[in-house]
Amino acid sequence: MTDETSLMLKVKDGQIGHLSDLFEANHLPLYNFYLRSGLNRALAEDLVQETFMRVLAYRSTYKAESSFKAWFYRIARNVVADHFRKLSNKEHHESFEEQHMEGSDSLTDSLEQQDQRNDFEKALSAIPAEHREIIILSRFQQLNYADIAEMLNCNINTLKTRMRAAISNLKSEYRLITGEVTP
Amino acid sequence: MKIYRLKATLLMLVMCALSSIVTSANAAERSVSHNLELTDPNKPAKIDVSLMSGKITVEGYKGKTVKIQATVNDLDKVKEDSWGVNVNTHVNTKMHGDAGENRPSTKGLKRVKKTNVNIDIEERNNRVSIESHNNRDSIELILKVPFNASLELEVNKGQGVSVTNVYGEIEIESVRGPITAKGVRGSIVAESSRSDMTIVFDEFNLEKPSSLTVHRGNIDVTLPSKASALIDVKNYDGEIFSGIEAEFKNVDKVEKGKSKGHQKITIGGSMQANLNGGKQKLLLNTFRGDMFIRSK
Amino acid sequence: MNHQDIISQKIEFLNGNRTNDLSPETLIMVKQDPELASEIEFVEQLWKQTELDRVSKPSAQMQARFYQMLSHAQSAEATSHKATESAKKTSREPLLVRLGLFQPAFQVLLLVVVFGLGWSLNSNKLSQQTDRSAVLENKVEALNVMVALSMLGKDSTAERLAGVDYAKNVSLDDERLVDSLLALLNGDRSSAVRLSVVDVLAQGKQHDQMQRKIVDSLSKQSNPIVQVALVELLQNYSKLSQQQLQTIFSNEQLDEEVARLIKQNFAPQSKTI
Repeated sequence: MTDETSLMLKVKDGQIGHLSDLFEANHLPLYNFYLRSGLNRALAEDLVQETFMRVLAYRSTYKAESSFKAWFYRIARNVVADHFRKLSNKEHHESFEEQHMEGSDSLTDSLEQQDQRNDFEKALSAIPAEHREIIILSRFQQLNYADIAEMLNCNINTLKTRMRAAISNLKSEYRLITGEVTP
Repeated sequence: MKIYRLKATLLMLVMCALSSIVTSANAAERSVSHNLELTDPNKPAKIDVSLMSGKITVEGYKGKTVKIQATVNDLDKVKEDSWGVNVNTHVNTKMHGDAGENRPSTKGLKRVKKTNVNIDIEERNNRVSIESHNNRDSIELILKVPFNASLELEVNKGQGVSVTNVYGEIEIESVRGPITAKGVRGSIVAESSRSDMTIVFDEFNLEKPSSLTVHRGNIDVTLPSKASALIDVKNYDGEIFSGIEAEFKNVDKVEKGKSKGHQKITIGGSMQANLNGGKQKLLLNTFRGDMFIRSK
Repeated sequence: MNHQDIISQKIEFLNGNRTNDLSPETLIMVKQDPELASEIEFVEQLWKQTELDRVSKPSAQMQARFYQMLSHAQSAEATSHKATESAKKTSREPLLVRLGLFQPAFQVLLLVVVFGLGWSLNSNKLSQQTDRSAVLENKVEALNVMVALSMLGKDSTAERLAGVDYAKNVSLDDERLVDSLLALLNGDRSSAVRLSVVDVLAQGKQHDQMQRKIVDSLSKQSNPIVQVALVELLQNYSKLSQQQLQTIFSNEQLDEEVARLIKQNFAPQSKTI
């Protein structure tokens, strides 16, 4: 049983003070998950708050056999899906290139590195949302295949197929952006 | 975490003469069985089954593994027999519909039957998934699962679904075949388009609502006499026969329309019965069919 | 081993979920397939690009809001058992039984109610109390909507049914809730869920836009039980236009009997309705 699973089980049992440990460990990755999903900073903060409220509200539904990460990010997905259902994406969407990533103007950043990062992010924003999501979950949130499959309610083989398609798609977009191939 | 994956690939060597397939009634039928261990045998299992064609039979038992037996019937064989095609000759082009007229000659060739049947079985964190989407085979699946398992069963065509003594949450969808579930203790949501449904509750679950829906067919449901259920019935064309200790009353859903001077017309029969305080809902829906609501 | 297996092994290794990188045999396979080799190279490039790992930090207010919420939740938790026990003793059992059945909703409501009551009691001014009471009411309603939305999104059909039932007690003024219900009406695999949604919509406000949405749904439904329920719901509205009738009859799966009912009751020449 992972630390997070046992913490969540304590929260479920009524020791809700342990939610602060889960918050400390997860709010930053979650906040950046929302930013990478195309939300602006204020909205991402609101949704982080709403996610933890839902964790508290639905703590009784948590089961030990589920990975905490899979359960947590499933809630996070529902939060953002509910949000997008209400509002049009245009209104609150900031493209990836518009997102100001803190520290990007650090003196230690080489121009080349910055260019490359932007190209990856541009490519990421150009691929379909379902492909972008699994790459974000794997590459940035570093969830394992089993957790992502559990979150998306699909089997691992389906996920492998989707991931390959997503990588292939991202590679094509990246090469288009960097001029390695012409459309 | 354990991941099991069983590919039941039935390779029928059809290099033998077609006549031998006809003479052997079982030549188009193969069985595979597997005893699947769960990641955590002390936790309840969730069993998802999705079949394109066939029959699903699930029985609860006191063991801690999932026992799977799959028998595969080649639908081509069934089709050939039922169409009266003479399989002693070369492949009959009539079997292939319109395209058959322009097919190259098969004279001098023997038919190699496509008999690879994949049944995917996967277990992950006590969640067992069994799938076959092969439209050419009818699969009879017999499962023995721990009593406290939950089920999600789906079969598109064939002989339907039968469940006995499984106490977790149950979801069943059988498009064409009948549904029978006995010894039910968890919530159940079942739907069939064209066949009858028989459900016998051992206990009526108060945590979640239950629902039985048949588009064209009868619903026969038996409840424990002490069940606390708010039974909500929607029945357009059919009779309701009740043996429970609660009266069914009409539910007027279009009350608001009257205030606009609209005349209410009664289309469906929405009725409700409050049994022993009605602490949880039981929804019964049919378009055309009778309902039998029994007490035990 | 197929290509997606190899790519997944590589990713799991790069994420630290696997101790061994691709085996020498697999690497030979990769080298023999330029497409696969290029994909593996791209994955490595993407995963090892550490610049991508830079993260943005949220404002300090976010942290403060979380701890404020947690503090209120802890207060609510401390009083929840007492509240539940005393509540059970009151005569309003049906409502409380319902709350008991939906424990998460109960917890959220309790959290807000306890917070809100404490707030109100500390206030001396009547006007402030009125304002805060309205604020509290809005908060409770917003949380009710949130709980309903969450329940409607569940994988389990029984839980979605419970969610639809819960939505009956929530105001349909919230667009998100109405949109979610309509999405279920038009897309849920269970007819029982769709039928229950019709019951909830019957309690909502009647306006032209809703009538259009019901007509639109009727043009898509395949199950005659749901078709009949929607026809019943349409009785709450004024007559259907010729165009709306055409939309409904464009549904190739419209049951003959349902079509007859519509013609009988909604056709322009009909004198009733």
